[in-house]
Amino acid sequence: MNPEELKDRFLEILTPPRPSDWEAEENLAPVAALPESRQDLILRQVGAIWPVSNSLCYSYLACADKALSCLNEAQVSGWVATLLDIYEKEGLKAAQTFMADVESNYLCLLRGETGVRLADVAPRLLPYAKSILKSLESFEKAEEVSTDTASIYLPGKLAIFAGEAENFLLYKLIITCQLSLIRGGTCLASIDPAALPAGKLPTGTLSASITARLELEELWNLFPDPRLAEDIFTLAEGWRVSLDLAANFPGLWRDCHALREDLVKRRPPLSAMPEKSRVVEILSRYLISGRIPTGHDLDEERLHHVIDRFDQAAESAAESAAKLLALYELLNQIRGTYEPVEPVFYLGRLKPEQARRVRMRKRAGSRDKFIKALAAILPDSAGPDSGEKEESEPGKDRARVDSEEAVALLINRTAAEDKTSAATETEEDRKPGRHIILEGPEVELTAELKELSSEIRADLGQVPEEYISAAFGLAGKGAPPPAGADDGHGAGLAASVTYDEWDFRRRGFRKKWCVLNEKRVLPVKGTFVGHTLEKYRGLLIKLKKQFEMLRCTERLLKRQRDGDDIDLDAVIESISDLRAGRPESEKLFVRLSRDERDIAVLFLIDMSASTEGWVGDALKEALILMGEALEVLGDRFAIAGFSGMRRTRADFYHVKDFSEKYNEEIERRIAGIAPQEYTRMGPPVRHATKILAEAEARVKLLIVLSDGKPEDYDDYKGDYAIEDTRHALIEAKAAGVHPFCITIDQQAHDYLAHMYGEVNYIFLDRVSDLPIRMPAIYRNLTT
Amino acid sequence: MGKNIQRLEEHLITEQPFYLPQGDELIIGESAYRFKIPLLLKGPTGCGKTRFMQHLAWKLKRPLVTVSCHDDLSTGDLVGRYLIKGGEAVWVDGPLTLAVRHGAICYLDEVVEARKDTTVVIHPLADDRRELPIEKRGELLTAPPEFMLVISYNPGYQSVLKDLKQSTRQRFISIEFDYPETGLETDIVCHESGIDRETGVLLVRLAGMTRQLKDEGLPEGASTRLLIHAAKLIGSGMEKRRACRAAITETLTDEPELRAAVSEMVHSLF
Ligand SMILES: Nc1ncnc2c1ncn2[C@@H]1O[C@H](COP(=O)(O)OP(=O)(O)OP(=O)(O)O)[C@@H](O)[C@H]1O
Ligand SMILES: [Mg+2]
Repeated sequence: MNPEELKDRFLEILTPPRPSDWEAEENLAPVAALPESRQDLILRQVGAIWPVSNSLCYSYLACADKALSCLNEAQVSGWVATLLDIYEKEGLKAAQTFMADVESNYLCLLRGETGVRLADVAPRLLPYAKSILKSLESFEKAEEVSTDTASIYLPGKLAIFAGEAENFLLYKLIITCQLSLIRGGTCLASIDPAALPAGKLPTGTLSASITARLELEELWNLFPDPRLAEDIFTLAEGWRVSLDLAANFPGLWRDCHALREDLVKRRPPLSAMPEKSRVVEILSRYLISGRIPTGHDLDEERLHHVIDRFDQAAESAAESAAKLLALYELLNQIRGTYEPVEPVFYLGRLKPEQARRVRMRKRAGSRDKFIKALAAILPDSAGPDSGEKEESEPGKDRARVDSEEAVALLINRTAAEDKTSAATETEEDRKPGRHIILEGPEVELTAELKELSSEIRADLGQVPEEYISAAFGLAGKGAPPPAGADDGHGAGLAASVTYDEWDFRRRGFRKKWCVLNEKRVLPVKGTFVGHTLEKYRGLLIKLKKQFEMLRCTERLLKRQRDGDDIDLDAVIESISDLRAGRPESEKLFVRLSRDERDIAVLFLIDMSASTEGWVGDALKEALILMGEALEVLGDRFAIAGFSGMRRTRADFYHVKDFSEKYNEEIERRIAGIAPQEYTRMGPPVRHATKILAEAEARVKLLIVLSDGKPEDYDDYKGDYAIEDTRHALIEAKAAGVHPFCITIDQQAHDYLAHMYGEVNYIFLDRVSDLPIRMPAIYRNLTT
Repeated sequence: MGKNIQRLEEHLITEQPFYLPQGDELIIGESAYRFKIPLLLKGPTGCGKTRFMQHLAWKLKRPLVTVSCHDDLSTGDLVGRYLIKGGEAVWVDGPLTLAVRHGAICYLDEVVEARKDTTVVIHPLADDRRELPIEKRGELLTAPPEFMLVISYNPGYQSVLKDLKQSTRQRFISIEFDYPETGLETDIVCHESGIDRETGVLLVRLAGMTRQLKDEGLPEGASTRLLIHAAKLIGSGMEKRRACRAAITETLTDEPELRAAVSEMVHSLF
C-alpha cells in the first residue's frame, strides 16, 4: 500500500473521533515501508485497540513490526488481548513495556514459564532500596547484575526458581547485596600500594616501587592473569558483603538460606573444570552457602590453606587486596590455566569504570553548580547587568572583588575554618546549614556555595582554581538583551504591571524591576482531555467520591440561640449562673451546621521550556483531574501559568479565572498549556498573590507547580533567584495567602527547604505520580 | 478550696520519670521557668515531648496539669464553670485556672487542634501580665511565679487550616525536638521495654530506614514511641516480624506500595 492508501484504510477502521490527516500520517510512518502482508496483519488489530485508547494505538503502530516478528499469525490476536488487559489494569506505560519485549513478556508466559518481572517488584523494592541508600537513583534492566553506584543493574525478569516468592527474594538479595557493595566503598575503591604487604607482586614488581594509588583494574592488571585476580578480589569483597548482610540484615540473610543452597546446586559441575577454576568455584560456593563442597578431587591441604586465608577478616577493599595477593600466590602453585567461573549471581561483576563515570558525572554536576553559584554572587561590575548599576544604592558597601585570588583565598580560608571549627560547632551549625553565611572581607559565601565547596573538597581535596576562574568568566560574559523576542503563544490581555524584585545582597527591593504581561492561553482542540479522563477513569471515580465527602464538614454548633436540640451543658450552666445570681445565658441550643468550605485556590503552573514532554503532560493531566474533583467539591479555583524571558517580560497566562466556570473551554485551555521560556518565579508569585488577595475567601491557597530551580536568561539564577522566590512567598504569607509548592525533579535539592520553607512544599521525583498525588496533597492541605 | 488542692496534688510527680536529654532542652526549660516565660515544644509525634514535660515538672517539683486539645474544647473547659451541687451553684475551676491558682505547670498538648477563639484566652497569661481573667466570676487571677504555661504542636502537619497564629507563637520560648540520635534512641527503647540491646539496635535501624522515605510519600517515619510498642510486643514473646507489622508497618501507612516497602525492611532486619 502506498502511504495514501494506508492512511485511508487506517482512517476507515477508526471510530470517531478520528485524527487529522497529518496526525494519522505521522503515526503510520513506522508501518509505511513494510510489505503489504505485514501492514495487513498490523492494521487488522487496530480496530480493537483504537476504541480503548488512541495513545495505545499509536504506540502499537510504533512497535508492532518488531513485536510481530516473533509471533506467528495465530498468536497475534491473543497477544493484543493480553496487551489490552495490561493497559486497562496498569496503564499506558506498562502496556508499552509489555510491547517492547515480546520474547520475555509474552512468549515466556505462553510457554508456561512463570517468573517475576522487575517492573512488578520495583514499586516496593525501590523505596526499600532508598531507605537503605538515599542517593540510589534507579533500577535498570541488564543481563548481568552490577552497579555503578547510581543505579543497580539487574535482569528484567527472574524465572530461576519455580516459585514466585523465591524469585522475588532473589531480587531483594541482589539489591541489598549491591547496596552493600556501594556502601562498603568497593565500587570506587582505589588501593594504596603502600598498604599492600611488602613483597613482590607476581609480575616481579616490588609493591613498594609503585607510588600512585591503583584503580581496581590497575591492581588486577599487575597479575599475569588479570581475570583470575579480578575474580578472587570480587569474591573477597563478596565475603565482606556476606558478613555485612549477615550482621546488618539478619532477617534477609536467614530468609535466603534455602535460596542460597539452591543457587549452589545450579552451578556447573566441578568435574569439568581445570584445577585452578575448581578452587575458585569452591570459593564461590563457599561464599554463597558457607559450606565446602565435597568430591572436588583437590589437594586437601592446599585447599585448607586457601579457605583459611579466604576466611580471614577484611575491613576494607585494601585488606581484600592484601587477601588477593596471598590467595593468588597460593593458586599460582597450581598448574594449568584458569577458565573464568560463573560470577556469584547476586554479586555479579564489579564495574569500577562505570562507577568512576558516575562519579565524574556527579563531579561535573557540582562543578557547574559551583561555577554558576559563585558567578551569581560576584559583584555586578563583573555581571551582565552592569549597565543598570544606578539601581543599587551607591552608599552601600557593595561586595567587590579585585581578583580571582581573593576569592580563591576566601574559599580556602573557609575550608580551613571549617576544619578548626568542626569540633566546636553547635547543634545549629551541624544541621545542613542553610542560614549560615560566612562573612568574608569582600564577598559572602552563600549556604549553597558553602555546601557545594565542601562536597567538592570531600571529593577532590580542594576546590580547583579552574572552577573559580570559570566563574569569573561566566560572570563577566554578560549577554546583551535579545531584540524584543516575539512569542506568539497566548493572546495579550490588560496593560502590563510592574513588580519589585528582592535583591538579597542589598537586602532590599529593586524597585519596579520586572514587567509582567497578562495573557490568555489559547484553547487547543484535541484528544488530550479525552485521553486523560479515560486513562484515569477509575481514579476519577474514587476522587469524586472522596472530594464529595469533603464538601461539607458537619459540626455540632454549641450554645446557639436556636437550633435542633437542647444544649445540656449550656442549660446546666445557665441554671447555675441563675442560682449564683448571675445573668443566665439565652444560648441554650445546639445546631448541626454544615460548614461551608470557604476556600479559594490558585494553581500556578511552571510553563518553562524544561517542562517539555513528560513533566508538562503530567502537569496537565493533574490539572484536569483537579478540575473535575474541585467541581464536585465546590472550592473556588483559578489556574494560571507563567514563563518569560528577562525582567522586562514575565508572562502570566490566565487559564481559568475565579469567576469562570469550569467547562470544556477551560479544559481546552489546559490542553493548550505549552512549554515556553524561562522560570522567573518572583513576578508571577507576586501577581498571583495580588489576585488571591482580592478574592473573597476565608482561606486562600496558592499552589505552585514547578520542575526545579527558578532561572531566567539574565542574572536571575542561583541564590539570587532562590532568594527572590523565597521572598515572594514570604510576601504572599504576609498577605494572608498560604503558598504551597510542588516540585518535580530528578532528585531533591537542599535549597528547596530554604526556598519554600520546611512544611510548605513537597518534592516528587516520579512525574507519573503527580496526577495521583496532587489531589491527595490538596485534600491534606485543606482538611 | 481544700478539695482543689487535693485535686492538684494528684498531678504532682514524685518519682523521677526516665528521661534522657537530647541536648540542652532541660536547661532551656528551667531557664524559661525561672524567667516566667511560657514554653513552646515543637516536634514530630512520639519523640519525647510529653515525657520531657513530665521530667521537667518532676525536677521543678511542680504539679503537671495536661490538657489534650481538640476542636470542641471551649473556653469553659479550660477556665471553669458553675455546676449545680445539691441545689447550690458551685464554681469549679478548669484545669488552666487550677494551675494558675496553685502555681502548677499547665501543658496544652497539640494546641493547634483547639479552635482559635479558645487559644486567645492564654494570650494575657502568656505575656508579662501573666493574668487570667475569669469573666463569669468577674475575677482576675495573677499567676504566681511557680506557674508555667507550656504548649506543644507538630509542625509536620500540613493543613493550612491548622497553623499557630503569630500573635500566639511570639509569646513563647521554643524548644525543637527531633528523634533522638541512634545511640540515645537505642538506650531509650531498651530501657522502656526491657528488650535486649541487639533487638533495640535493629529497631532503631528500622526507624532510621523508614525516616528516609519522606520523599517517597511517607511524611513521618516510625517514632520512638512506635519502636517502644514493637519492643514491648517482642519482649512479651511475640515473633519479631509479627510484632513489627502490628506496631510499625500497619500503623505507619495504608498505602499498599509503601507498606510493602516497609514490610521488606522489617523482613530484612528481623
Ligand atoms: N528523651 C527521651 N527519654 C526517655 N524516653 C523517651 C525520650 N524520648 C522519647 N521517649 C519515649 O518515647 C515515648 C513517646 O514520647 P512522648 O509520648 O513524650 O511523645 P510526644 O512527643 O509527646 O508525642 P505526641 O506529639 O504524639 O504527643 C515516651 O513514652 C518515652 O517512652
Ligand atoms: Mg505527647
